[in-house]
Amino acid sequence: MKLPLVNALLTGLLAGACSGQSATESAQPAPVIAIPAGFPAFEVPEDNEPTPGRIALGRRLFYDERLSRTQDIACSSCHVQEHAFADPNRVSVGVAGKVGTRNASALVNLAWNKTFFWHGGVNSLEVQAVGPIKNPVEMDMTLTEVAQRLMAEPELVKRFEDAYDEQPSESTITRALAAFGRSLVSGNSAYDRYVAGDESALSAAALRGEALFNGEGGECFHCHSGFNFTSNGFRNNGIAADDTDVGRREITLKESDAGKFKIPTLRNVAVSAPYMHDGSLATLDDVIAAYVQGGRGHSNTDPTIQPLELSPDEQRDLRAFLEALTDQEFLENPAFADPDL
Amino acid sequence: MDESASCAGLVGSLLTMALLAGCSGQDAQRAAGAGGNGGSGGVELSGGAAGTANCPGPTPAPLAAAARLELPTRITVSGTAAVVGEPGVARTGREFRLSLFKFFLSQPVLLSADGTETKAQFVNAAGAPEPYELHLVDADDAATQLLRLQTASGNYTALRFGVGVPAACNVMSSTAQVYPLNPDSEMFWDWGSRFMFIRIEGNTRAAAVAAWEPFMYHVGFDQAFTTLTVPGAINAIGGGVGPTLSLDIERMLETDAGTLPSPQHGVFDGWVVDNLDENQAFTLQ
Repeated sequence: MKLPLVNALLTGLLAGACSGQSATESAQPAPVIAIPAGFPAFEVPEDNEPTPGRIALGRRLFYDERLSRTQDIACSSCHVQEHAFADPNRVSVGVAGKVGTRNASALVNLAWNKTFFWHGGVNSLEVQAVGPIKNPVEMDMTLTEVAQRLMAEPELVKRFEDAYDEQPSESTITRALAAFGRSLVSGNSAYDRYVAGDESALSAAALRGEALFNGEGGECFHCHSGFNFTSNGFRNNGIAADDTDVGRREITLKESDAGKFKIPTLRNVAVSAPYMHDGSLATLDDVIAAYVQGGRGHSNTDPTIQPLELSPDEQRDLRAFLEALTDQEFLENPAFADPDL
Repeated sequence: MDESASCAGLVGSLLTMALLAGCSGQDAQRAAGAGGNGGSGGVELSGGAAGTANCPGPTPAPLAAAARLELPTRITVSGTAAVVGEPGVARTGREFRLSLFKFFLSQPVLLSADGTETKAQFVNAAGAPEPYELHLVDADDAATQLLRLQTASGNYTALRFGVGVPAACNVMSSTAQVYPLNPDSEMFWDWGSRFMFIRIEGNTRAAAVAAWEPFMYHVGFDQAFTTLTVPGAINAIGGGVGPTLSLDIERMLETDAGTLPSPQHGVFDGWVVDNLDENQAFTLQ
């Protein structure tokens, strides 16, 4: 069962770092996770309502290299805050130099995600946390072993007990990581300030780009819709003709899902390069060029992917709009940073 | 079907009809800027009204009605079930391969032989009214292809419903809403701050030897909201399973010549809904 977040009005750990974003009246206690104006509420599992202690514990674990077999890879190794918690490498490198096959996604507004991973095979943040820890080319651990390691640190064990009334375990480790992940809220970009009424927040180029984005010129809105610039669906954008990664088909076993991947949010997209599931596009210009081309010929390319008639100036305008989705406060928020630094 | 009864129901409507295609087979209303009329006790939508005051909202009040009627839906190409990702062959030889097909149904009303209109309400498996009194059919999600209607017990001769989101619900920002009026339904149009009524995408070819070509038709805007009356015997005494509501893609998209009547890539609000009526794309059997 899930509960709406509005039930979780507690003294805010993060409220100070998110000033100006909350839609909640100041007379009310600040929520643990401030929801930016214009964002809908989100749901949380009944057994993992956000508390400052749970989020802080998850943040501690997110930066803890003991979660990997070799004790030199943390979640933060591939999810770097200044890159919107994406990996600037094309694909990520895990334990013992093992190389993955997909680009590590940005971690932005996860609380509103319906599914996780590029193939969408997991539908809760708590379960998502299991994946990288157990993946043999990422952290290559078991949660039992992680718990045993953490038990050696009495101060940390006490934090688990304070947060969950339990010692470190598979359940409490994943719930804490999910609690931190759910707190990674970004909603203070120039675009958001423009939507809130600051007409000077967007440049003329960005405004032209917005019109292209939301119009038939760029057609981006077909997939990147709504407050979080994603419909949470899956599409094959035809980015590689010979892609052997079957994407969503891996989960649904449906041939029609071959080569489909989760539509990512575009918030902070300017700092989360490289792009696409395979990290094959290095820059925003490369991404725009690929869409202008109408994809690259994958046999299951979505019908919405068609050549676009965008002039070089229009492509620059589109990039300017995408750059206006950067939330610098999010990228520098000390509440999300390594607590040991 | 008692065609005269169906006509009587239409005449009883207070809405100005932008399009009334006669009473043969299906009856249709296309209301300029309005959302149709839910009939007695229905959602009160005034012609041309803007705003949200009359939108049922995400948790509509349950309709006090005795019967729970289940109507399966079926999406076909020339009578054969359409499966997302698999080709379907139309009677003209044209093949359709869907990649996405969703459409909204709204304002269900059951019509009796004497022309009486009885409001119905879309409900979920637990019996709760569906948000906004809307039902979104997804060709790729079997769970959405069963309509559950709460209505008065009785025998009926036709089903009337809207295809689309009534105007009162079609003026809101998506951000504060719940499914299906939020971006997760993939029916939200950012640039118009409106919702698509019908979204169909896929590939087509005129003959088996021709190359597949993409098509993408997105139907929306208030003037495209269409109310259809589909004849069919519906026994809702005590509830149970009623006839199947079928929608034929070929009839919805094609001309008699077997062509797609516009460029194969774009957004249109006119001819698709015209075809729904004129080609009797919906049937109830």
